[in-house]
Amino acid sequence: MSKTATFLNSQVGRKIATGVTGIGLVLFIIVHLIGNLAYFGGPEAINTYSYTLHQMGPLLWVVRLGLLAFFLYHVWLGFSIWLGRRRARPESYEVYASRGWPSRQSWSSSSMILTGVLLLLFVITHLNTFAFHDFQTAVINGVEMHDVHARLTEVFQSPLYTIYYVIIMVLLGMHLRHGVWSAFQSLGWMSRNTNPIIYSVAFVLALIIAIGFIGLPISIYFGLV
Amino acid sequence: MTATKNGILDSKVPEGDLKDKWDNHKKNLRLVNPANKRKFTVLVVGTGLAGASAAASLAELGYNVKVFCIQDSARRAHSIAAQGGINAAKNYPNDGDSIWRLFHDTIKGGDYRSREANVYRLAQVSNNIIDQCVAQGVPFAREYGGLLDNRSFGGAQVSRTFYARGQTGQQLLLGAYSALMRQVHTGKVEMLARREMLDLVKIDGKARGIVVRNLTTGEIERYAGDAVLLCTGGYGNVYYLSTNAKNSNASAIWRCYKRGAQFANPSFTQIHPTCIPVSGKYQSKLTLMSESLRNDGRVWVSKTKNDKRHPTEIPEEERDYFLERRYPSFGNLVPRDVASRNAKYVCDEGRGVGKTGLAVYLDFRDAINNYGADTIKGKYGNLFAMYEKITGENPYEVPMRIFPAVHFTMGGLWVDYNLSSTIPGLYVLGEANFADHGGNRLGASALMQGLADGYYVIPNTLGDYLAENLHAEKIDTNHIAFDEVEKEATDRIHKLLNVKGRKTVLDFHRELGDIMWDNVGMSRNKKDLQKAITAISELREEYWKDVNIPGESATYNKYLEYALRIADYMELGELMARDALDREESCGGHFREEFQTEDGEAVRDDENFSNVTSWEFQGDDKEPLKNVEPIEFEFVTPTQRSYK
Amino acid sequence: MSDQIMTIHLKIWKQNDPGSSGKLVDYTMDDVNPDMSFLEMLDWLNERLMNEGKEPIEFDHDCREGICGSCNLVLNGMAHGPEPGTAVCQLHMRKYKDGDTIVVEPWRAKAFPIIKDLVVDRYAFDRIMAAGGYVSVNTGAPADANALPVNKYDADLAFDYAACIGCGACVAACPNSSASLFTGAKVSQLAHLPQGTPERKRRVVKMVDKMAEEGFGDCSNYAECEAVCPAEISITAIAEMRREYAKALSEIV
Repeated sequence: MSKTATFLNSQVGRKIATGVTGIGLVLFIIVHLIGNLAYFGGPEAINTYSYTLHQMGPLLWVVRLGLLAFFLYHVWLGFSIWLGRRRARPESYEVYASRGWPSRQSWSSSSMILTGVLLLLFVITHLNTFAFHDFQTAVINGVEMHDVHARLTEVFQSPLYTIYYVIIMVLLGMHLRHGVWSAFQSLGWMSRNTNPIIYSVAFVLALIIAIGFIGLPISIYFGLV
Repeated sequence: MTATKNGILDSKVPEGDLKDKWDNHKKNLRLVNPANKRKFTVLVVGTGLAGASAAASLAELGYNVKVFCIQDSARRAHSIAAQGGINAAKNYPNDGDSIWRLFHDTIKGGDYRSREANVYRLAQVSNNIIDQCVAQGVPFAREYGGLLDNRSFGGAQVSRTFYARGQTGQQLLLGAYSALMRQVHTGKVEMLARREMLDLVKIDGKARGIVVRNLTTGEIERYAGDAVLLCTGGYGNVYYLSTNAKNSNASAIWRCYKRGAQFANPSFTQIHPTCIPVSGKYQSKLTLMSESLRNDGRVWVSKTKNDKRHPTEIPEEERDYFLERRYPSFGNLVPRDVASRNAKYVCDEGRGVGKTGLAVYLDFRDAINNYGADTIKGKYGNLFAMYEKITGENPYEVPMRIFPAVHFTMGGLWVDYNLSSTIPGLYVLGEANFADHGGNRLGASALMQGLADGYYVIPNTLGDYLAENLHAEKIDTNHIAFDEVEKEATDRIHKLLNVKGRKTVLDFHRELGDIMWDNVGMSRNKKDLQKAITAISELREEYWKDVNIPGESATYNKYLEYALRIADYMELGELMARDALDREESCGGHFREEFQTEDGEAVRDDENFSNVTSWEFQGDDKEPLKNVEPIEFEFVTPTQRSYK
Repeated sequence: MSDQIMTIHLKIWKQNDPGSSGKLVDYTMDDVNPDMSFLEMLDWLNERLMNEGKEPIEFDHDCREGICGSCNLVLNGMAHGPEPGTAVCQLHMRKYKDGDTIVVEPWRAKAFPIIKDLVVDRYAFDRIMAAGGYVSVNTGAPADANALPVNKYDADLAFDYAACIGCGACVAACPNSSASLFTGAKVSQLAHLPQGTPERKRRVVKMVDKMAEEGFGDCSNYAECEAVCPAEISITAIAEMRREYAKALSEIV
């Protein structure tokens, strides 16, 4: 086996890979969030943003495929680690409880696989709702482009979809609450002093991302923008 | 071949000046060449400091080693619990220490009942031990300059104790354990955990194998070898309550005693004054606290008997600071045995404190008032926390309660200068032998001795014996001698299991402990010792008629393990009482009430008892034969101590 | 010191041998003294059972002062019970209330098979240690101990990691049964000391690989191990082990 394969198959390597792909996905989410916020700038801002992205051509596909690879690898590692649990403990405890801090077992860390699976399903429907959907056309400064603004406004008129979206974003926040901290620990970027700081920073980051994503559908649904 | 001639034991101490003896001896020892080392198998029983270090060192030399321990891992041996530190004559602090001074302090601390040559060798190799442990990565305490830190300990005027917080034993053991695991990895050591030695197999008078019980399956297993090393620790659990681990036992050394290895100075036991006292009948073991507590704590009891008042309600004038009263110059800092004995006396008078009346106060009130709670916390914070964890009481507010507890046994199987017992091929290392501490062991010396024996003495001396036996017949475990020993062992197990009586092993152990503590404890006299011999023998008889052991032999069965150990402890207890009765002097940990000054000081009898008493088994119904090894002092002059 | 006697209900795992299946069995102790340690209560229960002609409960224990690492009980789902920094042998009954029910189970992990009742086999830890948890130095005459200064910060940190008692609570409490804290503690101890440097790459690779081979699970950074560790070893040990491993594999030939 090559060194890379040995590394990627080891417990440490798998965890580092989970962390690296996770951080990659978080960076994407942050970019995505910034894009979303462009909605508040009106149709022109968000449609131009979307148009500019699409103008990247082959580079966009490189990013998209890279993102897809990260995503699938992250999902696969998550499942594989989760499936290993039963193998490592064939007979479970009759009673199990966490001792509490400094344990990071929480609603967030204990539900990583669940929030992960729901996020996976969401991503599929999400792509279907937006990326693979036929857009109306808007003309801005004489350029024809997808009217993303209209699509967003239309989608978030539905109370069911809005609720669904909000719930998923809460789950995303939960996933990131453990995920971000965990990535730092997995990459070994941790000392005894920075450990609690990173844990708190991860919470704040997860909160900002979740609130950021929830802000848009709520604002649209209640007609705040 | 035999070590005993006309009742006198030959210690095989080499000739020459004290400081050249070990080097000269090493020059004269025969060697085994590397190709031949591979042909030998050494059986090492026990994996504490002595066992793990010996097994690792011998495997490094090329011998095949099989190691046995009763726990599930070699790392759990009771050396792990040693707190204080390990002595060495490095003289890093430049406070005048030297090999000579460490030697002299150890001989004096042992109340002049140990061999000069052995103790000097111990002091000589003490420095190598520190080097070796540091090379292994043992995290000793260091100063800001990056160099090793030292502290002072009882019985010495220099700072020569190396330590790793309060867990020195743990760190040293893990060092030896990791060296052992490295040899397990190379295949030179076969690790056999959860195995208890049941008996020794002797062929043509030499130790050639052992029979063990596989504690997981209950099966009896046989192992043959060219030499057997016993590194099985001390026998403090004969007192039921001690600071020893629950599974610490004397069965291996006792079985070897019954096969002909002589037992030396069995009555020499050390009792530590600052342990957390017993809280009730259910108590299973005692926990030691560092005696450094006596630097600032004041020991007292009420002047009135059965005073049930809360300690803070007893006014100053009704308190008896008995150590300060009796020993005005040393006060609370009198040696371990004096402090222990006086605590016992006030409790015997009915002035003991706490629910059981078996404790005295160790009060930090004045120290806290004088220096502030923060200073006291800085010095003793971890000890106070440990005390609170166990007792549920806050020692910053309520005086601590302390009581003495059995801690270490200086006696053990007799060994010569090469650590060979009186059975050729049977070597005894660490606390299991009697050798280096005489009548009393100094703090931080047990770790030193265990590692000296294992790292530096046995790798040299064992080769000499094996070289002599290079052409000895190789023994197979099908040899008839194994059949016989195994049959005796299984018969004994079945006999015990078939008693099916009414009392549990614990009941008997507790009764044995009471007899030992009351009569063969920190203060002994002829009448009580005679009483103890009779009482133990009666208890033994009752044991074999009325003990109730659950379960079967061929399974995991902890109470069966326990029962076998207690059967041996009862016999050993009787020998201890016999030895204490025989030694008509007060010396070190052995205090005979008949032999004391008016002030209650121990009176040694160098004319008649400057010797090692070594007992030889004669048969179950016969009294053991007494042999002696004279202890002569060529290089130091024995003195009497006084703490008034 | 309290004189109040308590009643404690126990549900204890009984299992005859590694092959058979076990179950929880109910026991009630109506004479529990708050000053008893948990293990002393079990001793007491065993005495009663044997006097009634019943089979006692097998459990592992030795030093009973929290340093040997033998005891291994999961109480109400928590390895070593509810007290932080405390092995179960040092847990006292005064931490419970009269009438409490306590479920007592052994460590559960594939790598720690049950021998009987509450007794498990932890040889897997020894094998991880044998894979590389040492400095390869033979007994002999190494350099003077002070020839190699170690800065106090590293020496203290190394000690914090070296304090591991090898009990296995980290594995028992981990939802994934990972041995990362145990392994990380040894790797990190030796990585902080100059003595450990020559072998540090080889060591971390061997030990990490051995840990997986023994059947311990992956670490998901739950940090439950740190919460139950009687020696309170920080999960920074795991972070350091990962750093060491990544560095080692990127450089090792």
